[in-house]
Amino acid sequence: MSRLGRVPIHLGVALGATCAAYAGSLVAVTALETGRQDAARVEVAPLADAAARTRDANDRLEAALAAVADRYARAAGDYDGVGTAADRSGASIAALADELRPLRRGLRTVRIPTLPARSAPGPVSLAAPVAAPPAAHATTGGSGKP
Amino acid sequence: MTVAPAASGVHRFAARAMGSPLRLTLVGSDDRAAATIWSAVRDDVEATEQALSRFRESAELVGLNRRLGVPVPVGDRLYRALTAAERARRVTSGRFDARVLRDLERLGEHGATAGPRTAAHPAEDVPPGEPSVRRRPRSRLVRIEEPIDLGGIGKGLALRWAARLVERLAAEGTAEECGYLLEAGGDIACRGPAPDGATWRIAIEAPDEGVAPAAVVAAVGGAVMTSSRLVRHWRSPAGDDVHHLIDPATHEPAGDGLVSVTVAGPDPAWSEVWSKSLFVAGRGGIGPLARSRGLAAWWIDADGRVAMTPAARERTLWVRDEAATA
Repeated sequence: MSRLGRVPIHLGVALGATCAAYAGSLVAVTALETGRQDAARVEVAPLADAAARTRDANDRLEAALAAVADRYARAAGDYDGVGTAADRSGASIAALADELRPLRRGLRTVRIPTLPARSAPGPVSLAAPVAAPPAAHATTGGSGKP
Repeated sequence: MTVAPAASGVHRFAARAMGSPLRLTLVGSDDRAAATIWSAVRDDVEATEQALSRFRESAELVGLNRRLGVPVPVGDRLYRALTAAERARRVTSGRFDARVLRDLERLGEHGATAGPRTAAHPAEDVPPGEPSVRRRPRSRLVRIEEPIDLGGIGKGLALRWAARLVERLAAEGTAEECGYLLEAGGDIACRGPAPDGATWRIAIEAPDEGVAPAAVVAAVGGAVMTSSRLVRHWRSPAGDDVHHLIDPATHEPAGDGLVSVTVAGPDPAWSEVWSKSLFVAGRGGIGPLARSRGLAAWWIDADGRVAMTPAARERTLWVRDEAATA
C-alpha cells in the first residue's frame, strides 16, 4: 500500500472539492472581466468615433488654413507689385512736373482778354437729340388670344 | 399667302393662326422649298392649336378641361405640353402655373370657361413640389383637378415645334445656311442670317403705340418672347381694369408697376415661361430674379422706361428711354 493510500478518503475528497471550487471561481471571474471589457469597449466606441472625426476636421481646417496662407502670400506679392508700379508712376509724374515747370512760367506771361460781363446765349431746343432706331425685322409685344 | 420676295432668295409668308398673325420670313431657300416649308409650318401650327387651344370648341384641351378628376387619354402634343407646363411650374417655384382659367373666368375674360369646380385638390392646395397634372407616360393618360390654360407656353411650344420643322426642311433642301424668322402674335423664333446678312433685329413694342419702339435688340438665335398687359386687358365685373397675366399666388392680375417683359433665349417655350414668371415677380422683384437666372430680359415700367439685365445689355442695339436703375 502507498503513502497516499494511507491518507483518509475524506481528505482527498475535500482537496478535490476545493480545487474544483477554485477553478469555478476563476472561470466566473474571467467571464465577468471579459463582459466588463466588452461593455467598456461599446461605451468608448462613440468617443473614439468622435475623436476620429475631430482629427479629420482638424486636418481639413489645417489644409484650409494652409490654402488661406498661400493666398495671403500671393496677395502680398501682388500688393508688392502694385506698390512698385505706383512708385514708378510717381516717378513719371514727378518727371512730367519737371518738364511742365517752364511751360507754367511761360503761361504766367500770357494775358487773357477781359470777358464781357453778360452774354446772350442762342436759342436752346428742349428736345433731346435721340438717334433713330435701327430698322428691325420684326416686333415683339403683346398678342391676342393664344 | 405669299408676299412678293423683297430680295433674291428671301420669301415672306403670312396667315392667321392661334388668334394672331403668323408670319414666316425665309432667307436662302428657293421658291419651291420655301412653299413646302410654309405649308408644313401651317399644318404643324394648326395641329398644335387643335391640341392646345382653349378657344376652339373641338380642341383636345377643351375636352380635357371638361373631364376634371378622371384619367383621360390625350395626344402626344397635349401630353408634352402638360409635361412642359408642370416642369415650368416646378422650375419657377410656382410663378408660372397653367391653372389660372378659373381666375380668368372670375375676372370676366372673354372665352374663359372653366366649368364646375371640383372639391378635391383645389389649385391653391398644391405646393410647387406636388404635381398639378397626374400623368401615366406609357398609356398617355392624364388627370387634372383644375382646368388648364396653356396660352403662353402653348404658343411657345407651337413656335418651338414649327421652328424645328423649318430647320429640318431647310437643311434637307439646301447645303447653304438658311435663315428664318417665325413670328406668332408678337412672339418670335429665328435663326441664321437675316435678309441683309446680319443678325435678326427685333424691336420691343413701346407702350405708346405709333411712335418709335422701346428698344431694338439683336436676336442671336432662338427666341424673343414678350408677356405684356397692353393688348389683352378688359374691365372686370367689379369694374377694375384687369389683364390676363395672373399671379398664381394671389389669383389676381400680376406685374405691379410693369407693362411688359421680354426675354430672349434659345427656346421659345422657356423664354415665354420666364417672361411670364418675371412679369409675375413685379417691378420690385424682377431685377434680382432675372439676374439670378442669368436671363436676357428687358422690362418696361408703367412710366414707359426700359430696364434690362446685363445679359440683355449685350444684345441691345438701341434703347429709347432707359430707367435709371435696372
